[in-house]
Amino acid sequence: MLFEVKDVYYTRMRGTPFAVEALKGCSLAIPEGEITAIVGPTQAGKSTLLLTLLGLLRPTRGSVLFHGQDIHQAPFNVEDLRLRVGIVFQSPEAQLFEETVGKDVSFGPRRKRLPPAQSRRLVQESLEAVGLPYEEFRTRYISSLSGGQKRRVAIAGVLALEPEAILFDEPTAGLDPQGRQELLALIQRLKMERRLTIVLTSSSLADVAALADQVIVLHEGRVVLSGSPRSVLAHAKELLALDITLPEITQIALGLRSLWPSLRCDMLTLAELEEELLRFLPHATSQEPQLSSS
Amino acid sequence: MIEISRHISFGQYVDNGSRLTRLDPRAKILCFVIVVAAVTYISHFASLALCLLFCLFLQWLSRLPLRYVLQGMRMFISFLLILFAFQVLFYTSSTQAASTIWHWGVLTVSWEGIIHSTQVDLRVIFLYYLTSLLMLTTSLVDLADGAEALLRPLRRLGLPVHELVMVFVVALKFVPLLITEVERLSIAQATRGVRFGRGNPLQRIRALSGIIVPLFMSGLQRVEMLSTAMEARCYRAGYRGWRRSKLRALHWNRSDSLALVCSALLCALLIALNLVSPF
Repeated sequence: MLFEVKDVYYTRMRGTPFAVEALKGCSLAIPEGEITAIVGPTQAGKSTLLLTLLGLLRPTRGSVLFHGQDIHQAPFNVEDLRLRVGIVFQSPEAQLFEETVGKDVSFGPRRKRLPPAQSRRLVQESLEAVGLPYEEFRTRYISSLSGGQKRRVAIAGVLALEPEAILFDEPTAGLDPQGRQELLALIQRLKMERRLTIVLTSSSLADVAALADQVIVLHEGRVVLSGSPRSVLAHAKELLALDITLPEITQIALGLRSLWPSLRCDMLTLAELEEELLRFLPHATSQEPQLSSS
Repeated sequence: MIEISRHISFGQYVDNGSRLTRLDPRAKILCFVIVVAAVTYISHFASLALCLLFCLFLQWLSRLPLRYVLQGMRMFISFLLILFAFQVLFYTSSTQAASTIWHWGVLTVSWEGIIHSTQVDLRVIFLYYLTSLLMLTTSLVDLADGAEALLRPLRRLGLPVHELVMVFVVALKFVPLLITEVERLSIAQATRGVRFGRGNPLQRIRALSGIIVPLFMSGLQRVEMLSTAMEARCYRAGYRGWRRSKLRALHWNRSDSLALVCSALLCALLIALNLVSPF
């Protein structure tokens, strides 16, 4: 296990009149080399959980283990953890602080005191991995970039640290459908090509169901469901009550349940939905779209 | 480092519906001004003790957690302690009969020095407490409305009262904004390997210095955004005969008069006590 979270409590603004309990006994495990999606409505504690994983917030109770070691216990160095696990925040503005793209992406390698040649190579590779040509963007000012480009620069800045895992906080928020597809494809590529462990949060299962290996559903600071996307989608009714956006296919399946109450709703692709429907329509074949009459 | 706003209460407003928050801002500001004037005048321990009682009473009225208010003063008090050391060491008494305890070159520690510096610093602590309590119990809008209403007569003298108050309020508003900004920047840099609050003082200062420049940049950007937003809503302060109307009118209640009378009485008492008390 890369991360293990054990019964973690966290109170935001503790000791002030504004105190809010964000995590209330949260326990979960994040395996290596997989994509884990943390799904939940707003205020569920997703972002807080990510910050706790990196040791940026110290839990009021409970422990966080990285490769089996407690990150807040003496021999463990939290700063090293932050160089091994990167995070991409919800808004790229929250992350970029240097003037130019080149300076910002090279911030990590410079902090690590890598030799200039190696640092340059890392910056070039990282920028090209996110689809920004190095020569063109190296000297561009951050303030002159578009929102989507800023997000890519933020990801490149994390990649330049050569992490073993990357946490994404709501990566698809505020992107148009095409930008969303591109970003999800990029995340998939990072997992496949660089063998990175990915953790991402989202308030919608629609984006992540097809991508994730494991889905963890968070609600009011607690884990309410976890497992493969399929096993989580099987509880579609409960998810709907939690204000979580479901994939279109699941929504259709749920709607058709008024006709066939025993219809499954854990399908991920249209082909699977069709197969399932054919169980209820024995006379139809897959070529003839007779469904439209119902 | 990451959760700075937890430790800084200056400029925060806690809307808990207590008697102090419900007081008319004009009354609050007037009370504040006269009490501050009296506290600045007093110097004897007897009146300082009365002042402490008054502060405890205010604290009870405000229904704010005492720990929260004190936490906000912690940084200020540690700063004051350093100042105290200097005051004591460089104290020169007006009368020559100083009972010296320790002497080395120009540095002297005398009983008079210690007593005098304690009195001065206690006064400063009370002033800080009163100011932070005013901020904690009054929203910025109320504070601005109250100050503007009180200063209105000065417009006769050609003073741009509304503009001045607006500038003051915007400046105050930026304190919590800048604190969140420091939080954001320190998180962003910590995730890429900067160590805050570790190492020797020089390393700590160097880690912080990386925040200053981006902080100014984003501060300026915010100023620009704010002015655009104000212009987009047709904000014009003193445009030929325009008068800005108020959504909420201020109401002067009996309790406001009572608060003012009580404060005036307290001031009279503080000053009288200061005159008669021997120490």
